Amino acid sequence: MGLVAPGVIILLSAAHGQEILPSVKAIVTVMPKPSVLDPQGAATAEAMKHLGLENVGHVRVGKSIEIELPDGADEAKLHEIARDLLSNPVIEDYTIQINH
Amino acid sequence: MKFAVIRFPGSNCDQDCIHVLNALPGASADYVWHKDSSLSGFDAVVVPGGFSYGDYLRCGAIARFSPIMRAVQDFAAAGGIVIGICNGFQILCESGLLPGALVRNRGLHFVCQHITVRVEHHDTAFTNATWTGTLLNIPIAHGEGCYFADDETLHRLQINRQVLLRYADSQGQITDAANPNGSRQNIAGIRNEAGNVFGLMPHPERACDPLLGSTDGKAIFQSLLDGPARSRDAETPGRGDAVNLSVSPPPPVAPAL
Repeated sequence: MGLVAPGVIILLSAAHGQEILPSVKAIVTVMPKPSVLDPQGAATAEAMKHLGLENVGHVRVGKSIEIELPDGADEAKLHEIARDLLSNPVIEDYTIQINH
Repeated sequence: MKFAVIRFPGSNCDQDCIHVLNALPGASADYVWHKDSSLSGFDAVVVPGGFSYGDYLRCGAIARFSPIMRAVQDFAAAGGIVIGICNGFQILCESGLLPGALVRNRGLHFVCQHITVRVEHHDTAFTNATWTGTLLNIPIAHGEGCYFADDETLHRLQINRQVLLRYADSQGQITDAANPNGSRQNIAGIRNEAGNVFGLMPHPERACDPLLGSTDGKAIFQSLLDGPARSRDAETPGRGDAVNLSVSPPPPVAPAL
């Protein structure tokens, strides 16, 4: 932990992350493959109908992972990590959106 | 035969496995911490159940990258016996040591109950103390135990005789009602193509003492001690692997133990 000059914004990531200057935010969205049973989605759809939202089609529940990165981060590495760690290609697909 | 029982942060069936294995004549077991990187001196590996890394991200997704898993990969590649139970099964699938994946139970609930599984092939390193068609009463305890694999993978599992356990009713019928979690084709346990890596959702280590209601789980551990694929009579044609739910299953056969 270092001293921070006034006026410099530091984004604090989760407990085990580290302080970095905010530059890029990657959002990895992981969704169950259409062929995989998604009981969470089905239960959520039922709850929506119960709350009065009619004509609900398929609902699928996935997850979104926000990652702070410095400028010029290795995008190929990020894809590798999204494929090997953040998602399981047997049951899930992922997309990566990078916001500068 | 010396067993390594891998401990991850969040493993909680490791002690049960150690207790059961150390009580088996001819077997001994020791813990191996997940940050260790060697399995030298061990004859077999147990990846026990629990909630490694709190099941964060996906069950087994983070444990898969623990240092010891590289050693487990090498151990398996060299033909060593590896058995993954519950969370251990999930970790082996995440590692790519076994095909498919375990996803959220069909009913969304955590299911904790004794169930019946049918042995599909007895001439394997993990089931040779049973017979094809033997029914085992073993508990399950999981929220993500629904086995998923695509059609092509399921076909391959079938052709290669890799499905070793299926959820069955008390008569040995493979029915939807006997499927506690929505697993495809009622699959409860599979081995890899080489036949030395086995993953199963039921907990055999919780069914090794009469006080716990069943000793059927011993058959799995005893099989490992008996050596790979002990010679047996040829399997009766038509027995086991009755994937088509309308196919009549074989009559239950008494366990060899």
